[in-house]
Amino acid sequence: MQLISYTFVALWMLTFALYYLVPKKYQQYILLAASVIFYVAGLRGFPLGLLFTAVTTYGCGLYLKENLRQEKASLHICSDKESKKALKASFQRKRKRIQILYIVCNLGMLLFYKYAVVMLPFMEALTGLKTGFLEQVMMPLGISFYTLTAISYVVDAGRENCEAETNFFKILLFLAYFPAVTQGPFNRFAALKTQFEQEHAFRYDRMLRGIQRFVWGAFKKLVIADRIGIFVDRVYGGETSAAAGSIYALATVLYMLQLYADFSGYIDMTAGVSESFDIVLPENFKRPYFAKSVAEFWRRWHITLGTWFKDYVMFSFVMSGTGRKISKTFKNKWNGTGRQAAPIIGTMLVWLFTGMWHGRTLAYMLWGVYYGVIMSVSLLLEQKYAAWKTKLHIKDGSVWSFICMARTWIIVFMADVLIRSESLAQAGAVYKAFLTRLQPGTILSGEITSYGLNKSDFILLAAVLLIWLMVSVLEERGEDVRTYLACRPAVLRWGFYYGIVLLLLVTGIYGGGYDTAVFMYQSF
Amino acid sequence: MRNFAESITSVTETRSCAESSAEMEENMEEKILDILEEHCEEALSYDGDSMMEDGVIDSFTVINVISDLEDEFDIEIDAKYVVAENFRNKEAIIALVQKLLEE
Repeated sequence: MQLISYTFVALWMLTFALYYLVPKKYQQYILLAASVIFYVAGLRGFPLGLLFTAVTTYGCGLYLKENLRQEKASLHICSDKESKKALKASFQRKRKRIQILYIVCNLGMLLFYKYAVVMLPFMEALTGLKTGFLEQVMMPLGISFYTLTAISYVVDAGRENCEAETNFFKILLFLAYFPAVTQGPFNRFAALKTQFEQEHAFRYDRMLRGIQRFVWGAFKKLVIADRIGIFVDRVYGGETSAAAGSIYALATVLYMLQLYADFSGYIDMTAGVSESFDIVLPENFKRPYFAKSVAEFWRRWHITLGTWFKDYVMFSFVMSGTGRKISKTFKNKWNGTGRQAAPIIGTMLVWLFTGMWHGRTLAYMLWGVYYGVIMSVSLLLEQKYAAWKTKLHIKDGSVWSFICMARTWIIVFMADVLIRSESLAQAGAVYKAFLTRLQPGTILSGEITSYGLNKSDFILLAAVLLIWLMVSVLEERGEDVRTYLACRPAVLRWGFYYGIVLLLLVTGIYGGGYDTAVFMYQSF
Repeated sequence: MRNFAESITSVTETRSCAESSAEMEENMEEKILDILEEHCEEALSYDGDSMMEDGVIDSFTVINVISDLEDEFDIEIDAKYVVAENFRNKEAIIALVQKLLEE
C-alpha cells in the first residue's frame, strides 16, 4: 500500500475515527488491526516472515524473563561470593545461548532474503541445481526494519533494560506498527509500549499537526525529491563519458538533497500519521547538512539506525568478553592511544554492517568502510585536532562553522557518488571526470536542461529548496515550525499551508512512467 | 589489668576500623573522581541529573571510565548497568561502584 494513495488515506481516516471512538483500553488493538491490514494489503512475499519473527521474539523474551527470575531467586539463597559469581555466569551463558540462536534465526532470514539474489549464480554453479525459483523469492515487507527492531527488544530484555512482554499482540503491534514498519524509525520497546498503553483523548490541534506534518512530507517527496530524481536518473543513467564532470557534480549534490527529501519526507508523513494517534515516534533526522563533522552528521541522519548500531553492535562488542580483553591488552600501549583499540574495532564493525544493511553490492561495503575509516581516524586524532585548532588560533564562529559544514558536505558528496553510481566502474569514471573534465562552465550553459528538467523546473526547484532551507534554519534554532506558524497571523499561516498544498497538487511529480510513490529507502 | 588493656585496644581497633572504613569510602570517592577527571573534566562540575543526555559525557567516554573503574576496584560492570540512569551525575556513578563492591 503506497503512502501517497487514496487507499492509505482512507485507512488512516478509518483508523483515526475508530481509535477515538472505542473505549480507550482498545485503542492499541485498533492500531494493531490497522497494521495488519496495512501489512497484508502491501504484501510482498510472505507475511509468515513477520509472524515467525514476532513469535520467536515473544518466546525469547519470556525465556529471558524466566531465566532472570530464576537467577535472582537462586542468588538470594546463595551466600558466598565465589558461588554467586559462578551461578551468575551459568545463567548468563544460558541467556546468551538462546539470544544467539534467536539472532541467528532472524538475522539469518534477513541475510537470506537480502543476499539470495546475489547468491544465485554461485549456488547454481556449486550444486548444478536450477535455483530459478529463488528469483521468485520476494523480501517480506519491512524485514530490514522489523528484524532489527525485534533484536533490540530481545537484547534489552536480556540486559533488563525493559520488562519482557507477556502479551503476544503487543509484541506484534510493536513490530508491525504501520507508520514504522516499512522504513522505520527503529523503535525501542519500553518507550513505545508506554505510549501504546496510555489513554489518548481526541484533540483537534494534534490532528491538525499530524496532517500538517504529513502534507509537508508529501511535499518534500513529490515536489522536491521526485523532481530531482528525474535529473539525477538521466545523468547517472546515461553514458558516463558524455557528460562534463560538473554535470555529475551537480547531479550528486542534487542527489544528496533527493535522498534527504525522499527519506525524511517519508518519515515526516509517517510521523504525522503517528502523531495523529498521539504516538510520538523518535526523530530520525535533525537537519543533517548542518553537521560540522561526519560523526555529527551520523547523529543527525537516520538517527535511530545510528543509535541501534551504537547500542547493539558497538556497545555489545566493547562490553563483551572479547572486547574487554582487547581493551585490557592494549590499554597502556602507544601512549594511551591503545585504549581506543576496542572502540575502533567496534566502529569498523558497525560501519561494515551499516554498509551491508544498506545494500548488497560491493559499493555499499566500500561505502561502509569509507565511513568506518573516517570515524576511526577522527577518534584517534580527536585530541590532536583540538591541539592544532588552538595552535592555529582558530576561533569558533560562523566562518569556522561554515568551513566545518562544507568539509562534511564534501566527505558525504564523495561517498554518495559511490552509492548513486550504477556500478563501481561508473563511480570510478565519475571521480575521474571530476579531475579531468570538470568544465564548470557547462552548468551555466543550456546543457543542464537536456536531462529532463527545463528552465522553469530548475527555478521552481531553487524556490522550493529555499523554502525548505528557511524551514530548516528555523528548526535548527529550536523553533517548532508548526507552532511558529500557529502564532503568526492567519494570513501567513494559511498562505503557507495553502501554498504548500497547491505546490503539491500542481507541481508534484505524479506520473509519466515514473513510479513516484515508491520510496527510495523501501528497497533496503 | 590485661582485660582493661584489651578492651581499650578493641575499642581503639573498632574505632580505627570505623575510621578506616570511612577513610576507605572517601578514598574510593576520590579515586572515582580522579578517573572521571581524567576522561571528562566537565563531569566533576556538572550538577544536573542527566549527564549523558545533556552531552556532557558520550558513550566512548563512558566506556573508558568503566574500564578504569573496573581495573581500579576489581569489579565487573555488566552491560545492564550502563544506562543513563547510573551515569546521570558523579554521585550516581559513585553509588553504582559502591553497589557493585557490596555485591
